[in-house]
Amino acid sequence: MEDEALVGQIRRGNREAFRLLVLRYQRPLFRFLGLLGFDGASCEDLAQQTFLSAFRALADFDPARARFSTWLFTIAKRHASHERERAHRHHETPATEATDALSRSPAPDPAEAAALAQRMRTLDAALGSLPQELRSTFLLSQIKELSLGEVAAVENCPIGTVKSRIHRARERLRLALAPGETS
Amino acid sequence: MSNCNEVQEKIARGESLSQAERAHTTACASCAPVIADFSVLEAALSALGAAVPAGFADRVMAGLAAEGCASSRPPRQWVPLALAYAAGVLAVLNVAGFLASVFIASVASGGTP
Repeated sequence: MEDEALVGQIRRGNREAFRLLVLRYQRPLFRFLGLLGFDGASCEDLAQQTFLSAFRALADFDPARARFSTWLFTIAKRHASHERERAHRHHETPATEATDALSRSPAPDPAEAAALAQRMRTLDAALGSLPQELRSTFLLSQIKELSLGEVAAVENCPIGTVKSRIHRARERLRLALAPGETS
Repeated sequence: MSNCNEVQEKIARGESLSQAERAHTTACASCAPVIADFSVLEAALSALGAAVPAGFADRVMAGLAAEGCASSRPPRQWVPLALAYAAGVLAVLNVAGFLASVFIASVASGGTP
């Protein structure tokens, strides 16, 4: 069933239809938040806030203006941005998702594990060093559930700008991870 | 034969390559290192991203229930009320107009109302 049809059911009082939307978007949402650098606990908090906000604001969602996915990720981006500002004000340095990813990864042998750990740290640092606009656009482009047009809608910029930002971000990250580069 | 710049641009943008372009990258000394570098990036990126914890959807639904969230605004009951009120006012005016016309007719004919 299409997202918009589920939204219609929720508006008619079928709250369980919202569960289907949560199940549909939880994985890409967690991926997006993880890529933004939030650790597992923060991802869960932010994802929960995003879904609750979406539910509360469902009356304002207009399918003629945006797809549900675009709208949901716009809400997620706003919550993530607020959390970043809050953490910055309190001088917090949350554990990064790269650290979490490392702890989840099976390590076949110590040398490979060390190389992987180094790559993840380098990638995390390179992502963190991207200008905010580049980083946000690039990370949204990593969510396969979003088309370039939808990324452009979330970022409120033309598709050409999205393509350009993706290109620049990927090039910077590639250079950071290229053999011989040090972080 | 694919143009190297074009192929490398597509790789850099993360776009999928055609079969001919893929074949080109395996043989081209200029494109092969680029695709190798980006493969490292893709692999590292795919390892990032938080896993969804078990029971997350249940917790979201429990959160909705706990907050007593409403997904839409309450129905706009003032609309039918306003219509009913307007109909009532019109009915009263109608009756008043009728009575007034009877009174005027009565006065005009010299009778008492």
